[in-house]
Amino acid sequence: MKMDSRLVLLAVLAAGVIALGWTWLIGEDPEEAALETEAALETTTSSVANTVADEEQDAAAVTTTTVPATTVPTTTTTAPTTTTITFPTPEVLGEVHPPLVEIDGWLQSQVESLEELRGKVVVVEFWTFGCYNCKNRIPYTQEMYAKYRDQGLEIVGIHSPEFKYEEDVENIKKALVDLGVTWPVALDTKRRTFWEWQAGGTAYWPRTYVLDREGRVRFDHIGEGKYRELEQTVAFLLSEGM
Amino acid sequence: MSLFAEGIRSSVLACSYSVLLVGLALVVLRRKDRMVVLGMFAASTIFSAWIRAAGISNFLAGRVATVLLVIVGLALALMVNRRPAGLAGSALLGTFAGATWQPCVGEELGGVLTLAQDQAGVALLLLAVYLVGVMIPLVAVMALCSYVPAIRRWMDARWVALGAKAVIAAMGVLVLADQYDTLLSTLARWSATWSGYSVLE
Repeated sequence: MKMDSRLVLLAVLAAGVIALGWTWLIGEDPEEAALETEAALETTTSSVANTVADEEQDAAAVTTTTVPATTVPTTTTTAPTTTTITFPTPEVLGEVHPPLVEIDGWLQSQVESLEELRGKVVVVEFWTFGCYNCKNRIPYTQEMYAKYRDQGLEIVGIHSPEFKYEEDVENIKKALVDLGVTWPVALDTKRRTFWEWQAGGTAYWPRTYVLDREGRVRFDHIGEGKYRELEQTVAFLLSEGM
Repeated sequence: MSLFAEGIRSSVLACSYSVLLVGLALVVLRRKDRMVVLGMFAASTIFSAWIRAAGISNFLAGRVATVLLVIVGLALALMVNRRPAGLAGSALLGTFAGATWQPCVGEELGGVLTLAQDQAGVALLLLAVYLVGVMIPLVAVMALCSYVPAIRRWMDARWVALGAKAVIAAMGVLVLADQYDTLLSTLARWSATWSGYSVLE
């Protein structure tokens, strides 16, 4: 092998080592990010509360808020008395969500269709229990379910197996217990719904959608992450109907 | 940087086996110009994965998939007794690997795949960075062959070549029988168990 080839090899390997070191030493810790989200949302809440208090106490004062720019987009007015904070309105990505196709059954559910959940904000998550990244999402989903369920949030996990052993219902039931999945799960064994919702050859696990109270698609994300945006969307949509 | 690292991390997960198995077959059996062949394999993998991600075409749909499966099965089977794939063969196997790749979609790749639907050109570059990360084990194997004479001798040993050929022959048969998924499934379950990711006993 020529020397220049060896240099390319070395460069690629060195870049790999640097990249791994970089993300492990400096990169964002997902749990830390979740805590930041929590803190940011609390900051937002307290900032709004402060604003109201300021308005009441001193109509002539200019209020300053310290909401992190990357966390919650803010609109700060320059009027002497008010600072208003608005969440971005989640775009309508689809007027009607795609249908559930040939669902083989439901687990942990009192409903058997998404239509029965109209009036609720619904997070639809395509997953399979053997998928590493799907499992990484579960703690965040659990937290959101506990926090917003009473306010009208429902989560529907659509279990679309990638491999044969993930098709076995007993395996799925065991996984639900072990992973702490307590929300309704639709069994999409032949992946008909998986392909129906993700047409065009771009189908992945996990994929998360949020439906508003009227069943319109308001959020779509492939893979892990975007927990902050997801929670903001859910919080906004829940507040819409109040 | 984190996209590249995410690719490297996912290379140990079952979702990358469809790419790595085929690539490893090329690297192990090809004694000359390994780097050129791997480069062609990587480029065609990236390209076909990008075509799918951007929604331009789904290789796995219908007759195209069947024809591709048969050709790749034959290509793998031929590699057992003949000179391992050249540039054209590498391109074919790379296309197959990219088309059958179901990635582990982490935070970074999720962003790229979402972007691919609107900005396909940018996504191609980002996907390339990620997939080079996925293929780092292949680069490492090549580097070991290149720098460590003992490993090179070991890799060139007859029984290693025979073993590799047996694995490739099995892969070819499975692809031809449309049972390639069974192989990936078995490997996925096995790796999930030893890596501690499995929730099953």
